[in-house]
Amino acid sequence: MKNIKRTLKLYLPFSKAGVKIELAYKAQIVMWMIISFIEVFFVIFLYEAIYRNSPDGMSSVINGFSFYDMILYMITSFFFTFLMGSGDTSYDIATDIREGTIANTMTKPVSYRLRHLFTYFGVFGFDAVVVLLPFLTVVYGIFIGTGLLQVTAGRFILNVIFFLLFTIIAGFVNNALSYFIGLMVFYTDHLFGLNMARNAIQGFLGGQMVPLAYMGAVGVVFSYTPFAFMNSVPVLTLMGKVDVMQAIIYILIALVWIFVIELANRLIFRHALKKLTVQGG
Amino acid sequence: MSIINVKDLSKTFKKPVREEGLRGMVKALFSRKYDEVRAVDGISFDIEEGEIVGYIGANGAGKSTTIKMMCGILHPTGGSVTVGGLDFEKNRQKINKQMGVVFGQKTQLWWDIPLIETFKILKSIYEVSDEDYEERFNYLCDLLDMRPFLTQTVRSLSLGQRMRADFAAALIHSPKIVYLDEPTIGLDVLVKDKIRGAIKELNKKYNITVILTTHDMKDIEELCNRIIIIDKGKILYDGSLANIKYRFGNTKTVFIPSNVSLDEGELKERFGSIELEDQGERWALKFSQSDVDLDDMLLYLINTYHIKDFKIEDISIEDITKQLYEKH
Repeated sequence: MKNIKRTLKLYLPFSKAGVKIELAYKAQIVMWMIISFIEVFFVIFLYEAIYRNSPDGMSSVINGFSFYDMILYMITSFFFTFLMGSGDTSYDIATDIREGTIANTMTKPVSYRLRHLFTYFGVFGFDAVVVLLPFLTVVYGIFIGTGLLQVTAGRFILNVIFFLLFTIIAGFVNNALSYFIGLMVFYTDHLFGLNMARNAIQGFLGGQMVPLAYMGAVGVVFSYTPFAFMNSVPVLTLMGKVDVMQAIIYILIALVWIFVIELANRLIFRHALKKLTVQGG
Repeated sequence: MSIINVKDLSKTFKKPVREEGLRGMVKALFSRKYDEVRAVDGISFDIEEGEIVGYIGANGAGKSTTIKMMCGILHPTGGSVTVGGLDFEKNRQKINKQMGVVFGQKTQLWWDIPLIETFKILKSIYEVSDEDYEERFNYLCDLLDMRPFLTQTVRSLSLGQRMRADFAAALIHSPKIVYLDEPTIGLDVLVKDKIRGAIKELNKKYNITVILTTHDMKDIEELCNRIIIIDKGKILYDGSLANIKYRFGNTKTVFIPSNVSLDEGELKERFGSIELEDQGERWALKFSQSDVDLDDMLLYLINTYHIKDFKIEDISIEDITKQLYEKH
């Protein structure tokens, strides 16, 4: 208990700094929102065309998704993707390596991993509370209010509780993976290609563009990868498409993934430190 | 008592070798060749508590690599570094708490937030008590004249302001050891003086051990009582500044205005090994006192050329290092 208290006291200032950094770049958030709205708008048109040309027209249900389910999935998914993109630790590590500022970070009496984790959760927490949750409240308010999403109050509260839990889990998985990608920069010196690959894989395996349910049996396998916890699982949970038993299984699997990735990160970091050369003397 | 012990320290880097041109680049995609560069080559020394040590050398001599191994940033290929008897392998965080670093070209300040916030984060990281923080923070603010820009974001500071802030950030937790890697690089004379003054005062007041690398010989001459000169990863000299000046100290330079028409042939004939250099506005006459008597030389210059203004200088540390490099 004493250790946890000390750790929090030591690292919470990093989270606060994360919030302050995010506040310093308010315009960036607004820009992202505008671009996201445009993207959602296009995707809705795409799915409108797909449903219109289906055998039952707009009332078709494809792989368990009605047209309005699909709209809700896409909107939730886009906002969740925004949250997953904030406070990218791999970028911070790459900057540390590219500009040689890792020399300063390594001389501080704090854990490199925890420093990044806490900074990330500052940004993540801020974006979740200030952007994601208010927007989702409005969107789900409209869908439930107009009857497009039919759910009982009790079930919806349960969905929200699991969704919040999965959002926190998504933060841990996302940051563990970002940290992993960042550590790769110790070996490759460049982040751009790694991040491109990561985004492509994450977009596909996480069900950002197409729900994993559309992929049949392969989609079921994908739903247990770490990428699914960064979009598909939380989004489907909030929509009420994940039952309690399945949610508990997902939580256990996510915890195993976090443990495995963090263990790999620990081993890679130890090895990477021995390879470190500080750029610019 | 020795606070830092460096023993047989070496560092080898692997650098990829690429052939020239597009063909070479394509070839490098399939088979990579590496050259080994020995940046630091088995050096040993001890540093005592409260010393100000100048660690100097040409670009690529291995000084920054040594400093980074002494800070625990780089992993040595061979040998060891201990700080207060502790090694980095098992005691990194303990050692880090006792030291502060300034890398002249790499800031430790948080770029996007007001400067004062960085100090608050450092207070937490180093677990500095409120009273100690207040005392130290106010002292450093006054010493380095930081109050006017404390609430500005770091990215909006001038280089001089940022360097002063970086220097204060390295000292806010009262470290026992401070590594300063080119702390005055790119700064104007006023800021340099401010930083040098602060180093002197902090060393005197708190007995802080300072390890300084610099290309500015004035830093060394004003601050260091001991210098270590390194070249190609090996130590060329380790001793007091006074001693090396004494070793090379019989070399003098006499400066006289350039409007005097000196007869170089006559001077060389009369005084033998004398070096004459036209520096634009003045002549520099360099000679060793073991070959030339200073009084004779001055009398000759005054009587022959009726010189009224002249200046005599001892050999500078810059000249000494130049001579040491040439010898090796």
